[in-house]
Amino acid sequence: MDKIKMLCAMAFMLVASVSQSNSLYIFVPSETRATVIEDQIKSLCNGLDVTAFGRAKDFTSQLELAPPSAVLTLLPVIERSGKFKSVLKGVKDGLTEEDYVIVSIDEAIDLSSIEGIKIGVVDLMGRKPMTEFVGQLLQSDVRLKRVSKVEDLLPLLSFGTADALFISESTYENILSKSQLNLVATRVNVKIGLVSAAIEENSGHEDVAVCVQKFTSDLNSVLGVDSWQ
Amino acid sequence: MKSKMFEMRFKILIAMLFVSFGSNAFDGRALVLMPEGEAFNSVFNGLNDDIGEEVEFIALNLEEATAESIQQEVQATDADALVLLGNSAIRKYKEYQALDDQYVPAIATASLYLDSDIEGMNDITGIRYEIPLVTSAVSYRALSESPVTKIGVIHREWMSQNIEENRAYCDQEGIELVSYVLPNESSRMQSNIRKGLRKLIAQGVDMIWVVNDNALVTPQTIQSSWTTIVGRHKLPVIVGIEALAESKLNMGTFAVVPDHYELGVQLADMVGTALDEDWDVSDIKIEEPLSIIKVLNTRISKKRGHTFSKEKLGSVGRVIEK
Repeated sequence: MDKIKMLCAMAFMLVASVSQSNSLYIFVPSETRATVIEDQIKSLCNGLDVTAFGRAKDFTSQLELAPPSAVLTLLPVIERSGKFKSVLKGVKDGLTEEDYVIVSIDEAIDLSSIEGIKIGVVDLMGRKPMTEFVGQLLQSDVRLKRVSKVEDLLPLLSFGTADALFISESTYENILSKSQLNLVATRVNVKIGLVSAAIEENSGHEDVAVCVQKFTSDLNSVLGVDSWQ
Repeated sequence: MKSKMFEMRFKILIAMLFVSFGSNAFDGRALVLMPEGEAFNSVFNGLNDDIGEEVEFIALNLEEATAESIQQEVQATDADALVLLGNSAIRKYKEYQALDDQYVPAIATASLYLDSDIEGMNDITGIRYEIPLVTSAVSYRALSESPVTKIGVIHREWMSQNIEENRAYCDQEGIELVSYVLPNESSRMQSNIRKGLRKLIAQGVDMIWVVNDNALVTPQTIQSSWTTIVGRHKLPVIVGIEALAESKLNMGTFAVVPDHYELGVQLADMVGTALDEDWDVSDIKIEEPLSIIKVLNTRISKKRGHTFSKEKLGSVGRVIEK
């Protein structure tokens, strides 16, 4: 059995190391469905095999099973994968990062007691890595309630499933525009990189950069940026 | 193209083999009691995809399961907990709890009226199945260019508590829920519904919510009551079944249904919490379902004078235009 295992492992490593030529995986949590984003990008990027994912788990699993030549996702996700180098960074209001806040109802969250509360987030990495990631950012042990869709953040808070949300400033503004709850944002001095385009470490393929530069302002807006650098 | 497909499939096959030969160091084990059916499978897939690397799930055949066989399986597999999908699974777990005072805890979902099903039981928690109106209403308000401030609902007496819970959630969002109560039994349901709708419209509701109740939604009541009145008064209608938003019925304009896969992911999060708490579920509160699939009938909406900006439709699972 050990021999078979070793053979399979070798075969896997051999084939997995060869990425899908000119393929782009997208994982950008958004209120717009992944298939809509995929269709828009496909229409702008001839020659790129584009696949958009709506869930972190699907994205990370597929990265392992059939690595693409490029990805378009939030910077922490790229950094975590350790296999891609950023070639274009999304920019919003002149910045490549965005402030994150902790949002609660009626009363601001006491940051000194953050360990005792349940924090709602959009899952970027899966249960354990996400807990570790947010814990590092907030410099505390955290208990997370994860959702896959941005639109599920508001119910998470309004039903009391989470005591607070850890979200970007723009997501907070979006929720404010839809809800009449008395939402309160607490600043936590955490910035997270916006969506970036990245290519496989050893790849020479830069088609993705050409493709991203063609994105319309509407598409950029869906991706949470206004330009690329 | 063919060789690319082959290459992709080969890689996936090899990866699957590799994974299946890898060591299965699970942190916990749970038996899953579930009936057959697409929706239940979808919940299970969401659960297993999300936390299946940490918790081993072993599915049991619900049809054949008895209190005794559950007890035997728990002992044989050394399971830490049971996951229950559907009302029947909860009933069988209840029998198992009564049989075995060394029972393991359970987490349940995909069951109508979960709270009443698990009343009086210990060491069980779960996620409700019914989508609270506020989720549907806030979603519609975000899409619509028409105001949503006052929603009318007709319900039978037995649903009163559920309606009050919905009223409280709607209040928080600045939405007034106006209700018209019907008796639990009546031979004049069609005319009762018509009368109720007229009363609600007279109170100035700008939307109608149709609850999932077999006595209120029948082919007869759809044709002679709901469609006639809501169509005449050009009201948007929220329904909880996708088929009720089809154009041929001319009834629902916005259907909101559970996203079963995401319900499984939400369940996985709860299972993860139980795992972290060494399978003590006593402090894990029952949750509302969070994730929905939205179905918008723009054809009927347009006929009733309600429009939506195109860029907002990207969040809608299905747009019915014809």
